[in-house]
Amino acid sequence: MATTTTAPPSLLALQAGARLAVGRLACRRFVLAALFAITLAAMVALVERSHEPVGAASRMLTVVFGLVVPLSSFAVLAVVTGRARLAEAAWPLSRHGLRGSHVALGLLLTAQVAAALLAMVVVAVALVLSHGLSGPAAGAIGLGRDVLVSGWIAAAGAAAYVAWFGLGATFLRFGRGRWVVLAADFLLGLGTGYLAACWPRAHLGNLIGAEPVLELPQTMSSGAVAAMIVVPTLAAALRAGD
Amino acid sequence: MTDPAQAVLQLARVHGRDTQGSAGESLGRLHGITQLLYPGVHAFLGEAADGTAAIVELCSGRSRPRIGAVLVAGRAPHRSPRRRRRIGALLARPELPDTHGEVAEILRLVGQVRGADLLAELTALGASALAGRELLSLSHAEARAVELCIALGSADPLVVALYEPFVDVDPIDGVAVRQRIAALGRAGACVVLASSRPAEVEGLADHVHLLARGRLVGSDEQLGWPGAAGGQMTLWLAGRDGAAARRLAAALGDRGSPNLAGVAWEQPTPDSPPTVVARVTDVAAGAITIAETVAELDVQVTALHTEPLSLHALAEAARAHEAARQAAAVAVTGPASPAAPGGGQAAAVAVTGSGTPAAPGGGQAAAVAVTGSGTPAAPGAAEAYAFDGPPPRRREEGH
Repeated sequence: MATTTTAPPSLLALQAGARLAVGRLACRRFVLAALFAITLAAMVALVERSHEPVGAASRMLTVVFGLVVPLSSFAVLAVVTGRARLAEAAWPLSRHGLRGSHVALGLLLTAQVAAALLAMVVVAVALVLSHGLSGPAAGAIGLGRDVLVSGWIAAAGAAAYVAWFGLGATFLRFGRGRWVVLAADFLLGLGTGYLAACWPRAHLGNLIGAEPVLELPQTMSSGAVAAMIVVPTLAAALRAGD
Repeated sequence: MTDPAQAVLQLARVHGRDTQGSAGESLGRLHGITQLLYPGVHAFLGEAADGTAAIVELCSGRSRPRIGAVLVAGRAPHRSPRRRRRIGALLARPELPDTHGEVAEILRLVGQVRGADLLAELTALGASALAGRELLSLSHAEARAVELCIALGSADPLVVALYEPFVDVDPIDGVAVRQRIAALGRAGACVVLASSRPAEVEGLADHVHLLARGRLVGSDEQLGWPGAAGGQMTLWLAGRDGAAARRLAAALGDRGSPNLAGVAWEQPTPDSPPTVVARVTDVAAGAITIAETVAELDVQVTALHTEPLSLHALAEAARAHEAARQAAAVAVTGPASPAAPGGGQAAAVAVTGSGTPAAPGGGQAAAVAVTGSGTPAAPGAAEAYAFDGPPPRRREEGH
């Protein structure tokens, strides 16, 4: 039996956390959540297009970014952490001597990647359906550009949501603080004032062409979303650590 | 070993609870436990409701105490990954990763972190068949078996905290677990063994602590510990005369045999004859001592029953010890006073319940604290045992 107990590198803890998250995502709950999100977005797209084809994509994006992206991100994090605080979700590995903050970071990063990919797929499907597949080549090019632009916004937004929900999951019993974040984003993020500036919803709205929060240009909102990916993620990992 | 600096595990006024029940509810709580634990096997006896699950959880770093401190080699395990790396833990509820993947994979990962070959440990414990199993397919007992393997297989552990390691760990054999625990204790680890069955820790634990309702009610000598193959012998005497029981108890106490950890008697009641209960550290040797005493006194024994130690008996022993200590000021001393160092046998009479030994027929029990020649001279350090509950059910009878 080996007797060396050198400190494991942080990378090992990160990898272990990521593998734990991937293992948890490989389940029926995640597949069902993803299918539900895609179906919901598709239905919104089809309804908007059948109601009024002109501007259907814009109206569809408002609904998808306001409802489907946050809820699907919430579902992804719920699958990864279960009904537990973030530290509890990392405990099956951190109990053996891996640093809890690193394991939690691995969990969050994986959840962010999964939520971002799901959001990109959701937006792409919804855009295609709202534009319609038939049409001139110029329309297809425009659709492709829309998918790319909206796709990265959705991916960044989903990652920001996971970061915020992850930070919320370090508060209250069973990590119920994430519900507080979800409610705050829905209630406060709708505005354009200082209170709204803290939440992803306001900046994502600005990026897809809605009224800008605090009169910020879109580049500033992009920076704000990027900050919302990094800062809450690190804060959540630190809070979940030892 | 009493140097606090050498204590591996320090419990300082610990108030806390476990989270091993459903939905994180607690099975039990601890109220102000203070104890220094050195290398060796320390058994904490009690039910989960008495705090055994909580003490294992706190020692493992699973949760932090509400008040007080739990320190492993000077560091709080819930804050220190380095300490947790050297803590093996088996909790009431298994906490293996809830993901797809084989047992062997998680054992390799944990083994990499802890510097141990846990697959070899699994094989050594006779559970190699679990290595290829899916984590999510494991039963409760199998998952506990895997966790037990991790706990026992860690390299160079400081603390190994085990909750009921002989229960619900199929397919691991209990004998192999006992051997491994004993080896860890000898190797310098502090093994915290929580069990509700005193018989399981007989001959294994170096020290025994009794938890009751979250409090530490006795340790080692208060409980008549250490003992090997010990138990409780109950003798039912002929007739309705309580004096015979009292004489027999006193004579057994005066013998000061190392095989006797304590003796008590119960006055006759309308429903039961006079009874003498002896706590023996070795059943065979204790039986001979009792037989010799019975023959000397010419007391007629109508029935004899032997049973392994029970939590109740240990709790009563601790209580009687405390009563004897408090009654030491008015102790009835024999020819050699307990205050006389090395003075051989001495007896102090302590009373439990509301009756007194001098009031026959009262139905209450009396405890006799017995000190042998090898016990501390201070009356308060006497080993004691008491029994004031209903007599055990008769299983074997004879004259």
